[in-house]
Amino acid sequence: MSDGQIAVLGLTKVYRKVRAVDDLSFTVEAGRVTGFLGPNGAGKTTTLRMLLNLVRPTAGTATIGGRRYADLTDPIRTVGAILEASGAHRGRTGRNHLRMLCYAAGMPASRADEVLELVGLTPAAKRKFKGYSLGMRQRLGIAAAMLGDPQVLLLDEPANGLDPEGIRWMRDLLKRLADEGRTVLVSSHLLAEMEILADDLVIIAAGQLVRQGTVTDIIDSMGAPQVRLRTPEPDKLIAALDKATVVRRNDDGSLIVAGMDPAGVGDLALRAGVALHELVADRPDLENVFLELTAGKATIR
Amino acid sequence: MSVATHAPAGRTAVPHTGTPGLRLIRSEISKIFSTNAWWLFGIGTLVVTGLALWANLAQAAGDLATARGPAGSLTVEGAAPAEAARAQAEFAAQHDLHTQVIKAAGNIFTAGQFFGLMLVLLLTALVVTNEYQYQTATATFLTTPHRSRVVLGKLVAGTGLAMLYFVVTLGVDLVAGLIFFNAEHLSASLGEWPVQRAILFNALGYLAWAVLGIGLGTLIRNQIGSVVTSLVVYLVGYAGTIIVFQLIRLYLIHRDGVLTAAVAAPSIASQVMISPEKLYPQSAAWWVGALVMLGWSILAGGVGIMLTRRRDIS
Repeated sequence: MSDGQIAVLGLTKVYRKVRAVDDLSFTVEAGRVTGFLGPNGAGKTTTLRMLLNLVRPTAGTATIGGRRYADLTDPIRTVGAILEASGAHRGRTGRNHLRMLCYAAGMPASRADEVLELVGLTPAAKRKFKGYSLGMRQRLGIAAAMLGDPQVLLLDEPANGLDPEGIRWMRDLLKRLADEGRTVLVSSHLLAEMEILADDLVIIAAGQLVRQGTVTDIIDSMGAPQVRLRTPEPDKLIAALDKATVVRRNDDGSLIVAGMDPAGVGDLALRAGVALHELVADRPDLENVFLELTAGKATIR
Repeated sequence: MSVATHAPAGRTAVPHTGTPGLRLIRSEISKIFSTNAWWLFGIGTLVVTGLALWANLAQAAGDLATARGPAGSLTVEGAAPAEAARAQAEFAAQHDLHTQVIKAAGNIFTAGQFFGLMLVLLLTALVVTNEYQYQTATATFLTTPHRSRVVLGKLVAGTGLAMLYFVVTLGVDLVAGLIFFNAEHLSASLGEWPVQRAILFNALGYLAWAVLGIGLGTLIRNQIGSVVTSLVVYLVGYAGTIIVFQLIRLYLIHRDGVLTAAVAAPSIASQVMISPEKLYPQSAAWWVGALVMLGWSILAGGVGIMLTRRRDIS
């Protein structure tokens, strides 16, 4: 059970009239980066906060490695979390912010310096939090999450405010942590980033599960494979294709051939004596799939 | 003590340090001393103490001069015998040097108390509300999911801070008082029980208001809300309660017990507790004040802990 699996079962949170999270169930496996996606107000943050014993569920359970967060013997050595970028006192230095957490968790104060080094904040260790940029605040949040060198990481929008270099740094860090066998659950709005970073996805909308699976499966489930190509003789190629094959001409002169893979199209072009200048498998991207899956569910509730 | 933990590959072993019960207290103390509020409030306390000392020393100098002056006797004409006797007793006390020295010592060695207690109340309320104001409550409760322990840690750290304020204030009062009595060629009377009692009760006051501040902060998480409530409870509470109970005495229940009951308000209870002499003729005994303070502290802290355990942190 110490495998760090996250299990959410029938989780529900009702705020007065709004069902922020509605009978939500999913699991997150160790050794993989799992993207947690959903439109604004879908209940992502509430779900993460229920996993962490910060918000009391109306119904259902949320466990980490089979135990509720409140029952973990050494919570921050088991789970690291980033929930908001502004979670430090304005007048306190980053180092002191981490130190007070070290003391409470029974860690040596030197651990604060180690995680500052890990996130590249050492030069700003003695600067007050109010002088931190948004990117530096995110790094401090990651440093706090890494204090206990935890098996499980829960990150709510960790890429917010990071510059391109910071985003790449974060991506490499999270991938490395997952490769080390840790569980990484990360919510984000940056769908292109998620497509690169995540292995698995959990997509929710209006508090309910929309889809769970690997990134490839989810994307493939939303559209048949298709091939995009360029040729100087499009009509000759179309004539050679099966009559049932759907072909679409793009404005830029390229052709989209549905229901075939690149090898099939290439072989066919060779037999027809048509030159190909470009030939790529064209998958719908995560953004399109996401918008299609959550269409109509992103309303303000 | 340092115990290395066994960590899987790729993970570093973060050693365990500290004594479990003391970790949270240490964490809370480090929170207090890693921001500016504690010394800003400390300076405020010193300024207030200085002003109070100046006033108390001036008054003591006047009183002592009166006491040293020609005693004579007071003749009261046209007054009831009881009234006359009381006036004469008062006159005698004013001219009794020993009584005046003890009274002066009690005042001087607790100078700055009134606003000092208020600053401690505000500061300890901030110790709690800062967590919500700056959203550090999330990190705090992630590290320690058992929230009542966090509140207890704050209680210990907060009362410790109050004691620090008390000791520093007392130090200033002692230096000033000793110089003053030396210049007056009088004993500082530190061996006298009434003076010692005044100092002890002063410490008790600092403790009680620190506990009350923590309780109030957990009760009202909003920073402005808790600061305003603190000020109302402390300042308006004092004068307001006296007026309200006087009015009740005057128009509703015509008994002196009503005025004694004013001790139910924390600000009155505090003054009743820390006054070596009766605060007013109908005042309850000092220990009633102490019990009332304890009751309010337990109530505020208990309700605060209960709410903190139940509330969502978002």
